[in-house]
Amino acid sequence: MDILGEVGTNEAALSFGLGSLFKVVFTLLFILYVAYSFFLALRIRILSNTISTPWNKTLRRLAFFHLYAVIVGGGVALFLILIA
Amino acid sequence: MVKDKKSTNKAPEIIIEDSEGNEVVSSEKSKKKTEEPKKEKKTKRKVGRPPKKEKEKEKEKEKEKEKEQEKKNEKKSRTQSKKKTSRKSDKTPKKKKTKKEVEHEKRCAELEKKIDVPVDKNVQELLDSGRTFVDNITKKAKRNMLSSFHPFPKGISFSNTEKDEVVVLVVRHHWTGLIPAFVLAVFVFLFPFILVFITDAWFEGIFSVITFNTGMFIFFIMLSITIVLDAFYKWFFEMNVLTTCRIIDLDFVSIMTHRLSETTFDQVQDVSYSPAGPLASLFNYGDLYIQTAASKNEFHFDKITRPTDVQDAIWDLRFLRMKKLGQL
Repeated sequence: MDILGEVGTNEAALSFGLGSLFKVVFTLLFILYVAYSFFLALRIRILSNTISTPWNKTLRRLAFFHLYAVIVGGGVALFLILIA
Repeated sequence: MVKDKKSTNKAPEIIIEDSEGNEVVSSEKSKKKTEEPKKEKKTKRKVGRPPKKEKEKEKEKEKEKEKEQEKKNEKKSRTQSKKKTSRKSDKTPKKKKTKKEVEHEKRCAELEKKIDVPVDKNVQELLDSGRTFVDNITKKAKRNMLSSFHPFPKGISFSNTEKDEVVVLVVRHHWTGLIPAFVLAVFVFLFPFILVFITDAWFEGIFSVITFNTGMFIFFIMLSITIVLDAFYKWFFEMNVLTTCRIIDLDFVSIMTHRLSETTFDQVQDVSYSPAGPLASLFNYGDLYIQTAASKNEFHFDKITRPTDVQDAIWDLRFLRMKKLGQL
């Protein structure tokens, strides 16, 4: 009878805090962010092939450096957010 | 005549008469005597003679010396001939340059100073055409590749440029077009601070955790950098190019697509511009519309620097192109 009385009183399993909501949002943002910077790097590569300027090499390197920075920096940021 | 004397123990002597009839006595001794010094001589020669290798070396040295002398002589003759020719050239009267040629050279030198690029034949043709657009576009123009108005840029080319095609002008958006992106980047940069310090009362739980805050700061700082970088890339690659043959318009439509449209000058029918707002008239930028006879009716140069000069350049380049094609 005691067991039956406790059924439905445990609310902890169903609670969804604001913190976890932020974590989900940031995870999605991180995925979108990485995808965006990846497409940006690709676009720069294509454009630098379309038009050749003296700055092309530098811009292409900058784009790919930015992509790596996003993956590493964003990853660290997401990790810190998730462990909070 | 040969007479044999008595044979004795002594070595046999042979008497031989000369052609004059004198008797010449020859014997083995005498032969030996004569042979011995020869041998000695031979040995002496062997000792005294330098070996063949040394001789060869000496010969080679002599040859080298001769060659050196020959070279020196040649040099001398060359210098003499040069002197002679220079004297001759001094003597020959120089052709007097005409006023036109002098003016042309002056203009070329001025243009070289302005654009910092050696003026080649194609650019000289543009200068000699008598059109004013070259002076207009090179006036107050910056030589920097990152300027929004760059006449005769160095090192810009397309995949299908022709041999005699010259890139006359590269125009980009005015730098004021970057302001919204910078404002947005600053706002994104400040966003986590606003969240943490101002609205702390709203979300007490998660925003009091240090790791969450640091993670959020890193994320938004990087996001703001990306916004600035993206705006710069868009500004840099969204260029409008005028060459001697065509007009090229490169648009960075979205992250997934870009559009490269071009038209030839013979298809241009109308060019018009409108300054877009008070900032545009203050900083001399505006929108330029080019109507063409092609299926794509209009080229739109959005917020470009010095639109009047670009308009003038398009008309002049069109005129020159049509003239070259024999359509005028």
